Amino acid sequence: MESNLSLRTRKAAVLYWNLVVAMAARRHAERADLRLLPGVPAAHLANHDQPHLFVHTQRLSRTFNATVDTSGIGGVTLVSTNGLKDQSGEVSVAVDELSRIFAALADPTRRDIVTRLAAGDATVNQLAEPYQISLQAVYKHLKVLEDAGVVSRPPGPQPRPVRLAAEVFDLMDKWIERYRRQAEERYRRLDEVLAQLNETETSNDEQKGSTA
Amino acid sequence: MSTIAEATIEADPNVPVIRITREFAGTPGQLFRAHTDPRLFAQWIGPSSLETRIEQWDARSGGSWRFVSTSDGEEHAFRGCFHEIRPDRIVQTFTYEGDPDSVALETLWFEDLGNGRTRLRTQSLVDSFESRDAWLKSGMEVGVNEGYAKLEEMLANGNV
Repeated sequence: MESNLSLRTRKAAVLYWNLVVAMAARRHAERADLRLLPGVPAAHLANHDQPHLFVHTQRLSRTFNATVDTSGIGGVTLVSTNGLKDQSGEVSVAVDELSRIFAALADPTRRDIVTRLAAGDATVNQLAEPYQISLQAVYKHLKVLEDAGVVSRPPGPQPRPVRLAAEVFDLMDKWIERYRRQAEERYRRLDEVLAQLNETETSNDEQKGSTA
Repeated sequence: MSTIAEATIEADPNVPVIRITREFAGTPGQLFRAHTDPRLFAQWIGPSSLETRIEQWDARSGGSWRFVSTSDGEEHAFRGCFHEIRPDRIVQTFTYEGDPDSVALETLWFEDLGNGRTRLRTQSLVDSFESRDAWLKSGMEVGVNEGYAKLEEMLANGNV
């Protein structure tokens, strides 16, 4: 039971993280304009100037509201948990873990560290190199990421490399695959355009008796 | 036709680049036209849920382009410059007007494979790994919808 709960909690954390990182990416991409892209009617984002993201989805007559504090120290506050009341215990556990993840990713240096670790393991010294901050400050950032389960430092001889959690890789792979799939869909439409071109050119050739 | 393989993608670990490769049943010339003729381009570029309106299009070296995607009154504009246009390659910039500081430099190559087939290679270079990841994550509408679908499934199953 206990391990079930933690597995679920972990899964929930990764999913929510996926969600909020996507939101954060969107927020970043739409700095000047926070209207959502088409196709997301159930979601709303609060004003960019406020230190909160407001996530809301309502389908299957369930409502999930979360206010995410991205100001740096913050975390997640569930402002309403309609439909989740029965599992309120689990929710609060999940929220606790989520809070740490969100807080961990709220800081630009830590996001940068995560991005760089996506390319491969690195030692603390390597990670610290590009920053104008002390090694101690980098250790502090890493501690936050470690506590949130985003990175780990597997035991071994010094210097121990810092490693991104497997879930993070899964997410990166998913993003890349999703992007690829979008390109593939676009190219299937292009296939159709080319097929039409082939058709008209063939019939033109027949009429003119010449090549296009 | 049935031998066409799906697009492959590569996110370079050393430079903030996304590369996509795909083969087509069409000549390099046809592929070139599908990328430079605005009427053809509008037919395939946007997600099928969106309507693409070409607002500016001058497919010559030094020319520029702008198009707007609309759906349910929501408009998203993209623009850039055609830096170099040649039958076998296009070099252009690409930016989303909602985030005008982020500009991708795109190169497209049309490689003749013979027998009326062409390999299209595209490369998008952005200014940092962070913005590349933002691009990748920004499989936007799909991504967030998928996230929601998963979340809802979990809620429905009581797995939260």
